[in-house]
Amino acid sequence: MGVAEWLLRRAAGEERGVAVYGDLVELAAARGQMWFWIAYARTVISLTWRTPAAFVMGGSAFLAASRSWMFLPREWWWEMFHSPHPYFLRGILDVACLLWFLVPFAAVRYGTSDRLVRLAFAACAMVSVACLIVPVFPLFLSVMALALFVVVGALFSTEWRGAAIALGCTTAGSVFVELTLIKLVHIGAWYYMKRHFGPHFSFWDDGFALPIHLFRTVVWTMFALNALAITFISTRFHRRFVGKTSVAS
Amino acid sequence: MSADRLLGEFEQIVLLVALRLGDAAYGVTILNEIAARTGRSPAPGALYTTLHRMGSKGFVTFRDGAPTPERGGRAKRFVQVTDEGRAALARAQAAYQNLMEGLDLLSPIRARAHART
Repeated sequence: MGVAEWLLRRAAGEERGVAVYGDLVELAAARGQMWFWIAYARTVISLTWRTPAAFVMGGSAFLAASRSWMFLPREWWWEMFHSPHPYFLRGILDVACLLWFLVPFAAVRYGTSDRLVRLAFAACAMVSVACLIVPVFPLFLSVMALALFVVVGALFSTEWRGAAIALGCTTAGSVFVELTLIKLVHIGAWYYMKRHFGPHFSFWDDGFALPIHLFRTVVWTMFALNALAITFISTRFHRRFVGKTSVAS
Repeated sequence: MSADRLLGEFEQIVLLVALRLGDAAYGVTILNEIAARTGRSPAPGALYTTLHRMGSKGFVTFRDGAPTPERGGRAKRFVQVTDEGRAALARAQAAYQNLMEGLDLLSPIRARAHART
């Protein structure tokens, strides 16, 4: 088996890839080798373009969302970091960014009529609104409760149960990766900064004086790990729990 | 695909060709039949993604045949249209027939074809 056939098997699945490759070989007998390689390239692209395109869309939305918080007023930031529930609020913010990646990723990957896409969009809209109204804490809690009610309520519907499980597992899995792998990157960067700036390093006072290349390396590494984790976890759980009702290539 | 969404043009062509070919419908024969009947040569990738999408929706099923030497010992993957596929095709065709009623669009085409013969 050559590299070309191996690649097609990876792109299309074993049996399907073998059959597709065999079809191209059979057609090339009449149309020539040049035709074979052009058709092969076009076939591989048509079978595989969705995931990279979805990754780019999801990544762009994730970056836009994670940067958009910087335009919020100072009162919002004060409330976020001086709240009696800082870790809870930061966790909600992380979930919001996760959903901002997941919704466009899944929309391109599976189509807008996919149930995971629709449920994730509803959750993303509610969580995003909740994050914007953090200073009004009772209202924030109400909107968050509504979001949770919608997702948990979907579990009781036979049509939406698979999508709710996939969304819940994706969220939980991504949070787990955030708390482990990404935390390791964060701790490594923090350790480096402590050594560079001394034991009394304060992020808010000294952090912005970090060498810009180091700051960007850490940020991009954390972003890449996050994005890859969401991609991997969501595609696995979508295949398991949502399955046939999606656009596929 | 929900019940009120009609099949796309290419999906209908693929299903019609698969029905015409019967047990002999697989990638190569479907592509050749589409070229012969419609005058267009779709890209193989477009056919395979369409077949896979219709398989996901339950409109077609797949059956692996025996390997053959002209394919380097690789098996063919035969396509069979399911009852759901037939029903979806019938719905789409009925909608088109409904829209065409009273427009008499096919008569000039048939007349030209008859004049050629």
